[in-house]
Amino acid sequence: MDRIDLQKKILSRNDEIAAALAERFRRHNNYVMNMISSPGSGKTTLLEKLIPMFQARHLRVGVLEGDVQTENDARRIARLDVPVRQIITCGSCHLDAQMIEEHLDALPLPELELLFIENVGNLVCPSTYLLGEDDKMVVLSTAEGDDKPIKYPAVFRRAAVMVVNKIDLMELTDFDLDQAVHYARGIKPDVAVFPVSCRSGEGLDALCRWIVGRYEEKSQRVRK
Amino acid sequence: MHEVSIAQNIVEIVTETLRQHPASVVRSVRISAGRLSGVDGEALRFALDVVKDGTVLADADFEIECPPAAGVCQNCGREVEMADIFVLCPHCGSTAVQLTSGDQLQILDMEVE
Repeated sequence: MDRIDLQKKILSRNDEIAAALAERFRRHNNYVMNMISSPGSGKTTLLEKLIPMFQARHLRVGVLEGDVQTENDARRIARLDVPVRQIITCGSCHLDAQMIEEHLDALPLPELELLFIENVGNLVCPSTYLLGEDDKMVVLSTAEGDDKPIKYPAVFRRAAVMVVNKIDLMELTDFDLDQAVHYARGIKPDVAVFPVSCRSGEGLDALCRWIVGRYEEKSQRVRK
Repeated sequence: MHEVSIAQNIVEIVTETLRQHPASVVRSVRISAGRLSGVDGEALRFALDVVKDGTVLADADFEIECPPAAGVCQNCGREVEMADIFVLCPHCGSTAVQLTSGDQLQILDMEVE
């Protein structure tokens, strides 16, 4: 009997592909956001609202849509006249780096400044798989519990930005915004927080400016 | 429920490693899935039992460790045991406790013959 010492990360293959994707994005000067939330928090609607704001700033956007089934979300995004590709995972609860690699050729990367990857609606599994992104955005809505950050800490710990959507509904729910932010900052002290309403448009401009700022920071780093 | 995907990755890594080794059978594999890794030890064991059939791991035992998490307080610099990711430093009360271990997902070693 022999003992073989491995000490190997189980997702090392995914991480290798993700590193190659990150290099590809760097080469094309794409800023890439991995959007993660539970189903129904409003990721697709958020994109529908943000994309025209980026277009008004002459930033070109591409989208990869991850869903277990249907092309509904890609159809919604395609109406905004941006390149979009639907990734149907056929049951898998998350996107992995290989799926991104397989579908990326459908998008004109050299012509894009921003790429949004809308992950499968799930707060657990997507947090483990790197996709070559620059930042993770976690979206929660006021129709959910304000304790989501401490219930699903892995994803909140890895998020650069937390968007609290549907603040127009807040008076109808028991959602405590201060409590949610307190929990999130307890896990990730420097997380950026944006309360928004996709219905009224409140908060969207600040979020848009933050994302553009992240793109510009990366762009300057890449040029150096 | 991404434990099946994790289990498949384990089978791939073990199979690949064994290819470069004179042994042909895996007796046991030790895995470390930190309590904050997002992977449930029991679900992973169940998934491994399903995906190991017909592979070099068919007769292998799995030892899955789920070590607790630890952190360092960014305010007072002391080490903190973390039962949960959201903890206050027991020494100074700060919320700025940085996780240092407990989210790892690793194959530690394996016994082969």
